[in-house]
Amino acid sequence: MLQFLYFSLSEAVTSLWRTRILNLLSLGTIMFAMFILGSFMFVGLNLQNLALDWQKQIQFNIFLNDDISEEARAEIQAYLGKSFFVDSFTFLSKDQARARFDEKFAAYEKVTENLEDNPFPASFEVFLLRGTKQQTYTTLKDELKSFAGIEEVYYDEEVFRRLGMFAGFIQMAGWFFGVIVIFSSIFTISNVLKLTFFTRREEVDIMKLVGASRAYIRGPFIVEGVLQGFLGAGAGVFLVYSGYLMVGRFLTGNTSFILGNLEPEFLPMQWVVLILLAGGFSGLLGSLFSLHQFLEEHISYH
Amino acid sequence: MIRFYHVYQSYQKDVFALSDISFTINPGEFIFLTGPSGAGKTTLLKLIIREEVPKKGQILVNGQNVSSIPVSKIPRLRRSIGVVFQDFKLIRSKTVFENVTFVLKTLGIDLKERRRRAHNVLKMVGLQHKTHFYPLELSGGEQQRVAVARAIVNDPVLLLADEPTGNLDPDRAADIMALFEKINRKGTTVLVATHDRDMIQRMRKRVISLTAGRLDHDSGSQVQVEES
Ligand SMILES: Nc1ncnc2c1ncn2[C@@H]1O[C@H](COP(=O)(O)OP(=O)(O)O)[C@@H](O)[C@H]1O
Ligand SMILES: [Mg+2]
Repeated sequence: MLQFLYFSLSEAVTSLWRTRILNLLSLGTIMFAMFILGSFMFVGLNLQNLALDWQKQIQFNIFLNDDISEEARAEIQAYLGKSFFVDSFTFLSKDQARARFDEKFAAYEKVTENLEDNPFPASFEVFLLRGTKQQTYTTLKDELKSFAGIEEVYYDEEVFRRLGMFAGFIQMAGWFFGVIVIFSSIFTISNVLKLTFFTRREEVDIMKLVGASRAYIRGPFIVEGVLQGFLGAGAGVFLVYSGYLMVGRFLTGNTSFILGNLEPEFLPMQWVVLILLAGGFSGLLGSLFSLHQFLEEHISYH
Repeated sequence: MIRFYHVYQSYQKDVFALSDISFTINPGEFIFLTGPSGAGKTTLLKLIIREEVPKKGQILVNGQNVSSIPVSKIPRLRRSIGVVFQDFKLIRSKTVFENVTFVLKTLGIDLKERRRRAHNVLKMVGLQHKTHFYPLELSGGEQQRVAVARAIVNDPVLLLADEPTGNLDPDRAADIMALFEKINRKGTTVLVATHDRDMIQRMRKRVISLTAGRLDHDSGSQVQVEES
């Protein structure tokens, strides 16, 4: 068995090398396929991480009426101060809010300059303890309703919900394209191997005539397909990894970017192994298909 | 070793490449199969290795009925027979060494042993210095000698050679025939198809001659061994 594997491997490697131009074609296709699959997984994974990260710490704003009394404000502040779930909060006065807007959106300076009244409301920016459930937030929000002088309690849950959904969608799309892409790799490998057979049918006939058994003729072809798939997938994963390094460098180099504090995460080892196996497996299927079609139909003992 | 019993082979309807061929070859014999080109010599050899199946009749090779053995047993049958094909049938993408030892490799014989055996047989045919050449880098005569080396490398019980000296000058041809005799003395049954009358006369062996697909003369067995 070991000897058979060794035989098949050494014959397959020689053959891969001999028809390397043709093999680069299928290698390239598989690489592209696995790159697409891997990229979707990578982006999906990181979007999900991002969504989870944001969901972990709920942050919301309490916008105050302009005519809120000093006492009412102090009451809210006291409430937030003793609430168990509040991690931290800061008060932002109308002027601070305007200043922050000017700072963040310098391009709109003209717009705010021309405003007579300051349209920005004063607010509390509240961070809940990490891990606080959304339900807790809802109760908190209800309790806050009883306080006077609150214009609105605003939590952009929709954004996060959408982000989470989007991440899930990306991953689904990844699997969807992945399947298409794996089928196309199988197809390519099978066709490239068929061409290989065709160029080598004389050789295969000779092998049969001198008494090589079926397994020893088929073995190298199968191993060749598996190797193609495996190497192609490896190259694809490598491309995704390069992409990951580039994204990482881009993010750390741009701290002002909203995602600046996010460290991208590369595909976990199991996923990488899965992609490689998918490559090898499509190679196996591809070679089995073409073997079945070619070796059995065109080269037989009769 | 080989027994043909009323064998017929045809490629087109009612045109017989071989018709009603019967003969027996005992183990250890050295036989020439002769006849003008187109007489059916190659066809007869193809039937022995089960490259073709006869239209009619039975063929026994080494105790096996090759007209009815299962496909899975064909490789083993062929490995027990060394064949020098008329058109050599060398694998172009493999070197002389790889061609000669390919079957040994499928049998799991290690590289060192393969090298040793290849060296031995290539020396016998005078090609030990061309081990790493590719077939297309060799002359016709050299390719033919590689084919001879491959045929004998696995110590076959039966050696079939189809015009094995067709591309060789007389001296080389005589060398190859001497080599076949040597192999024959070690116990291998040898069947050589040739239309070289001079060689046949010089060698004084049993001759089976075909004309237009019919066996028209058999000089008779010189080795008397009963086949069970
Ligand atoms: N594959 C084939 N298809 C059709 N006719 C064939 C084929 N092989 C041989 N023949 C015919 O069978 C006859 C015997 O051929 P062959 O055995 O090659 O003769 P020899 O080897 O004695 O020269 C010839 O008439 C040849 O044309
Ligand atoms: Mg012939």
